[in-house]
Amino acid sequence: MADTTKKSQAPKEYKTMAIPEEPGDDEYKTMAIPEEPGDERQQQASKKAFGEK
Amino acid sequence: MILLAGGALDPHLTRALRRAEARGIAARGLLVGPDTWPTLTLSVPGGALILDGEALAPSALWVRHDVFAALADPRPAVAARALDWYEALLGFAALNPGVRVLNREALGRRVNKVAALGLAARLGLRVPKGVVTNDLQALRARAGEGLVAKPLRGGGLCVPLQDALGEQADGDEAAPSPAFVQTRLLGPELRVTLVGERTFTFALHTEALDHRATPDAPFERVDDPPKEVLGPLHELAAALGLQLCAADLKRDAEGALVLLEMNAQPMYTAYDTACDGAITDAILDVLSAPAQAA
Repeated sequence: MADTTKKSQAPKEYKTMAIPEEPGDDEYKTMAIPEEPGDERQQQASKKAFGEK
Repeated sequence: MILLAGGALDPHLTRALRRAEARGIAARGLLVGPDTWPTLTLSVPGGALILDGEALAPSALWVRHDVFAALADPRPAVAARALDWYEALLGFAALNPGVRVLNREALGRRVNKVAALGLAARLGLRVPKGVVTNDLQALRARAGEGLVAKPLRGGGLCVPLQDALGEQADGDEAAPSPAFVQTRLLGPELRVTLVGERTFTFALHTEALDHRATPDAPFERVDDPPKEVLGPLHELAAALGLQLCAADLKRDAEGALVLLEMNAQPMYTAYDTACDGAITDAILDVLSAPAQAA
């Protein structure tokens, strides 16, 4: 039986197009945020240019 | 109706939703939050979409792969969830070829940085002179040449070659990963955000080799690059299937603009604020433009 207690429903305001508050620091230029979509591995990329053993 | 899909913590989407509402553009958010997410059903292969119990037939879609949730919560499940939603929306796009999708041709394809530089050079843009290598022995002999190193896939900052070499064990002949090794270029860095035919160019002033090391660096809107650079930038964007992207450029010793890379999912909120939301407006214009007759 499906677990109906999990948080699987969006708050009503999503449906009525009220929009969540932006995070306090939303002034992203690029910072250290991956700018290529679809590659979750980028999050795990080494911080060292030549990698790690 | 425009469907704007991605992370609830992604300010690019939330400000686009606010702006669409202010402009009277019909838009709907599909936002996946840290603890909440909508109910979605996509029929396969029909492509019909039901969101929170409501059948939706958007005329346009902008989907961003959410990286903000994972920045806030590094558990692997969070990043996996973001990718799952992104994949679902890519599926919707694929099953609905009549829906206008921002960066449609590029969705699901990662831009290989080496390939993009090669393409850029063929289109007439200057790109950094350099190599991709893990040959530590050869690089140690060139450590005094003022070169820089940066990872092939992002994740780390561009650093002086000497610093990158210092991270590797003395005596190793080959590093675990190949990386870019390039000539050092000169600032200020130009950030050229392309939205359809429109461009928004800013100059970032920082002493740092990689501006991401100084996120508070001052910047200002400046004139767009000359047409002999801007034209090929638009050609490169088109070749990569990008209606929205951002190019990073610096200057070489001769003063010529050099393309560092093209970003397919740019972060631009600070620049957008500085130009009174003009970038967001341009994106909404592209998404809400009347369909052209075939």
